[in-house]
Amino acid sequence: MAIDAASMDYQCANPDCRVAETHKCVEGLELQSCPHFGKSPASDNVKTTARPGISLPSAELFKAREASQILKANESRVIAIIGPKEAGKTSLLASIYDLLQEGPIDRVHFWRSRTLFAFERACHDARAASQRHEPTAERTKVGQFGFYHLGLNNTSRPIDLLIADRSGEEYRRVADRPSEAADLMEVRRADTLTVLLDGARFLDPTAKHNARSDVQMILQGLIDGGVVCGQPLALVLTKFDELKRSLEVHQLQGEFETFVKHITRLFGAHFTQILSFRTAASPMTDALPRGYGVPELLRFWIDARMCEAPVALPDVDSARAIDRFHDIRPLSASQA
Amino acid sequence: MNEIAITVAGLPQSGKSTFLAALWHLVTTQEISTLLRLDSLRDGDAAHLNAISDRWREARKQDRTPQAPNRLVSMKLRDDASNTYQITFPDISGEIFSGMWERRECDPEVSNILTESNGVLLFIHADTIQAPHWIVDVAALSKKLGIPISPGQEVPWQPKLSPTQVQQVDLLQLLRLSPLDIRARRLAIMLSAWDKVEAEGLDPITFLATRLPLLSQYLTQGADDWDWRVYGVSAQGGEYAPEPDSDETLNSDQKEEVNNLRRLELPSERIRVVNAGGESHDLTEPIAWLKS
Repeated sequence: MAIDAASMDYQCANPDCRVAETHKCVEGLELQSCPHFGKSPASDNVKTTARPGISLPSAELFKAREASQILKANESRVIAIIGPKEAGKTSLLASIYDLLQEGPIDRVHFWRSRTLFAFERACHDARAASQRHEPTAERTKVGQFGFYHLGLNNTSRPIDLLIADRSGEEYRRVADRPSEAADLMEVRRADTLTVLLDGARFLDPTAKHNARSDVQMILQGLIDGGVVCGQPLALVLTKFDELKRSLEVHQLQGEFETFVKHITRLFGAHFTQILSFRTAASPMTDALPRGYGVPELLRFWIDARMCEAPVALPDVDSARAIDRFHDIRPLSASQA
Repeated sequence: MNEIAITVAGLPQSGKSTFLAALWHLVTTQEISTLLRLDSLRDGDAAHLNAISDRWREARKQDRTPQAPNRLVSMKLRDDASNTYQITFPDISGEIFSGMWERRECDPEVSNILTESNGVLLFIHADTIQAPHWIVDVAALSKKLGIPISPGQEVPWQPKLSPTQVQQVDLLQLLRLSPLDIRARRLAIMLSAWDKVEAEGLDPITFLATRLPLLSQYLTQGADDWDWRVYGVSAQGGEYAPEPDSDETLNSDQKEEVNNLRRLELPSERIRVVNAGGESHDLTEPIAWLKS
């Protein structure tokens, strides 16, 4: 192959410079003024070898160890959102983050988050950037577990929420085998429990009774498995926008209230408080605003908490981090 | 002499190089009164700054800063009290900052530069903010306007699809976390291309709260203890001409805008800096605050 002598002259040690093609310096200098012009791209004057980058914090879901560090450092709440698969767990936590994208929620401000990647991934399928026609949420896979971190500032009292993310299948298994509840570290440690009743199934006459039964049996399994220790409980009817479009909406709302009373009668002694909520975290239509009912639930998470226990400060750098996570209690406002 | 290192941060094409070009013009020509001005050219290499300032005066667009090598731009400036400052601005490519978000890594050389800086200028192009949009809202709007949404291929999540404000919050958090954990506390948010958005009638702080509410909350709630200010900056002053061999073309109005800029007697008057204290042509204002 013939070598173009002119092109050989137009070369530069800066790998980003296209002087051979453009006859111009990428830095805008006169060619004779550029210290890299005329030198081979492999010249020692410019570092061309790829250097390993310094790893930065991942911004993915927290593992138990990272969650423990947050618990030790600041006033915090551990939130367990429990429900069978596709009940709307991911949509619910994603909607809180997405509401904050537009401003404070009921005077609660965004403060910080170390899991922005995880939140962004959770929100993607409800955003226009996904090019989807209907909002949806990525399902949490069986075996995947971690915590979303969301720091909020509520009237000058910063607080860190650690919202557990676990698949619906694993919660449903507790109804079959309560002994498996012992593996649900986040439930035992939670400051509040939030149990979801799938509004779409509640609307379906065929699925309705099983939807209620699922919730009741999961609660029974958690109690019998010994991981409920007096936390406040939120019973949430999700996908309320779908009920709202039904002609039977009033009847269904009445049935939900009856169900809440039923749960209170059965399990009230195991919880300091049981409250009901209706949410439309990511509605399919504009029948209800995005995040309907979510601010009230968020307020419940912030305000309700277990009775304070002494703060344990274990060294959480070992494989026993998960066990020790159980023992860490939140700092009170005066301790934080 | 005081030595001050200022990090010029921002995603690609956020206005960092234009700022440096206009700043160098301002402090060297001294066409107008500024808080800081050139002390001397000694002990420095002004070739790069002179080159980008030339382009700025000709109202031509700046080339994109290459990813490597990272240039350390240095200016020896003095204030009214004759205090002198050697101010260095690492001219770091925007791709380095977007890579910190997308790939979760940082070049060791850039890490050292960031760690040692005394203040941060964070550039956000005010006219190209990538805001979050939701499917349900877009569908409702399309229904209202009677415009059907054309079917598209579903797009899996990628970090670069995230809203501008999320990427900026993450960058500022990273600067406060190990391994970077920079010592600087002062932060100037520079809303560049301010002339393109000022018709919205918002002052910079309200613009931040309205168009970048997550970032605004993060700063106002003080999680990472930044001492911050926000500036609307128009360092370019209007439309600039592309390279002669570029595919980009200007319409007749844009060409007229370029010519009007070139006709100004004092190029320094193209520059506008807006903040809570008012409006000026003085790009050294945020630097004077960062170093104080």
